[in-house]
Amino acid sequence: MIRTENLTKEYNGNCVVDHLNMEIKEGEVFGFLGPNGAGKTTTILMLTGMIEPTEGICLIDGIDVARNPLKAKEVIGYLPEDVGFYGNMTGKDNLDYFAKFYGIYPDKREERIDYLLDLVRLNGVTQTVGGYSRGMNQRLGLAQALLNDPKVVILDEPTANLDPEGVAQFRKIIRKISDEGKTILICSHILSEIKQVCRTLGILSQGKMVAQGTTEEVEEQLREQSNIPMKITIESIKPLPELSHPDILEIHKTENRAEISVNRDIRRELSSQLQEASNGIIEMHLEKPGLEQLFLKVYRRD
Amino acid sequence: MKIQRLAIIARKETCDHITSKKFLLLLLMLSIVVGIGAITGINDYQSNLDRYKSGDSSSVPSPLSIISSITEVIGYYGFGAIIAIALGFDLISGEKETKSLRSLLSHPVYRDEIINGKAIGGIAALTIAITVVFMLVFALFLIQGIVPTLYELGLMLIIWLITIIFLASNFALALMASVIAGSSSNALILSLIILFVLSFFIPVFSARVAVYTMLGEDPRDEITIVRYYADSDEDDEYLELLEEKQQDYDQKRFAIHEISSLFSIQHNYYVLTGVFAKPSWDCIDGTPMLSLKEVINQVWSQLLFFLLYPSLFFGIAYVKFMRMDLR
Repeated sequence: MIRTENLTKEYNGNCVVDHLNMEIKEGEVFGFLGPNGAGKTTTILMLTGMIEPTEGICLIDGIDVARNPLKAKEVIGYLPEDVGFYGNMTGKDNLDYFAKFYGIYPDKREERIDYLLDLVRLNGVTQTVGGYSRGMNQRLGLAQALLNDPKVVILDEPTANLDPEGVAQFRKIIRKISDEGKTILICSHILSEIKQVCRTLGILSQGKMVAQGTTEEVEEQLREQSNIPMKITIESIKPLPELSHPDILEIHKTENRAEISVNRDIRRELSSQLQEASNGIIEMHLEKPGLEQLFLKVYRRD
Repeated sequence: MKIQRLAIIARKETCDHITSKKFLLLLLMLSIVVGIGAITGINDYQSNLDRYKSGDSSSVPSPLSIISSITEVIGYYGFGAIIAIALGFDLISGEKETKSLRSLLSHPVYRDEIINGKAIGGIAALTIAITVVFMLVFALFLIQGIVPTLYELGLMLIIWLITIIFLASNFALALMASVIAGSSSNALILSLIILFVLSFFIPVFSARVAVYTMLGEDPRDEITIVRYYADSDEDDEYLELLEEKQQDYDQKRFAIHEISSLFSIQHNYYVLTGVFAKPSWDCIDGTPMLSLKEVINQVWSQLLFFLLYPSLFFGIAYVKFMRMDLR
């Protein structure tokens, strides 16, 4: 549904997005991660037809965005970061103004706007947008992104400014629109949020996609880059014997309990060693570093 | 560009302007000032008419002289520039600040439709404002029993049109500043600086510098001294030479001032409306002494610059907006 081929954007000779190749299948909920200045917003602006790429193409539902930006915008819903509206108009009037560009008939338009305002819990709000809280603004932003019942929804930092109830509501809406078969691209810094709602992830660094796949696959790719060891905790019935394996980095052992830092999952091998020593296992579990920890390790700029 | 989308933006912009407190306040102020000017003009007209009726004056007063009170307020006193700049200076910069521009551009609309729609909306609001003011003056005419002839009505219509172009020039200047500047406050300052440069700096200051550097000292001082001490034929000949030199100097100085004044939107407006509001080419027995073509020939350079400015400012605004970085 979303495909980029060698997508590149240069500003004054600086390559902000560097030959980016990305593919997001129909119905996928894709998390787009990356440190500040990685080129996420520039990529999104190219995907939404707001800026033209220096090189390469991006296709949305088979439409070349640079060549047919208007056609592409008809199938895209976009929630920008820090979304803004016309402060002198009500939320409904703002949505009505944007909806007119899709050529929707007035009665259908009103029906759709009422539905969306209900969805984001802004129905019955009569004050102008100038008086909205940031959370209300964000919710109205989500409604405007869904105005045209888009096939592709692109959300830039959608949960910023939302309170916990708003975040829960947002997740519910994402699940709902995902169930409708829409392809969703979420750009966020909140990794826990991404992990909760996204099935696949992509990590952008210095304009290049450095990791892409399912959450587990990306975690594995990051773990390899980060060199953060995994931890195996063992608790046995009898005192633990000497454990040895080339992938063991460090062992903290008490009589019946050990915390072992390892390069890879060696539980099977450790289990065999304990069986050979006729030792029963009370507990053995593996702790992998979390996505956030891995992300920070790989992309922290100290 | 599609007309429907352009119309959506233009309609919204016009509504935003005419329902804003800023616009209504400026319109009220303009109406009061123009109303006072018009009442003064009507009183002058009535007394001139009385003098004509009593035989003290041979020229028939024209209601067009009252119209010049409107153009004076709008042009000379700068009310037109204030209104136009007030409507235009935050059109793009304001949308950048509130981040509504990105929201708008995420929907199926081209950038040129946005800038053109905003320009049309602003000019429509200014047209409404100026029409209200002209209607107000016209109502005052009728209340006072002054009924313009069809010919005078035609001239009023031309002045109305020139006034709209004048306001559009200032509006386009503000729109350009709004696209160039990073914030609305900077856009306002930039608009005022450009207005100052065009209305005062080039026509007055740089014209004086140009006269001094190109023509040198004014021969007038030397003439006064020579005239004071002249006591021979040689002195008289020299005086004649100096007087010729002064004539030449005056002609060249006048030409420099004329050329530098072309840069002033206000001056061009003043000249163009003056031609129609105080016509020296008035009628004899209902027939104009000069044709419209002949009148335009007299003021073609002012007309050219007058029409050039809105096109130039809008052109710059258009190009800059089309290339604007949205990050």
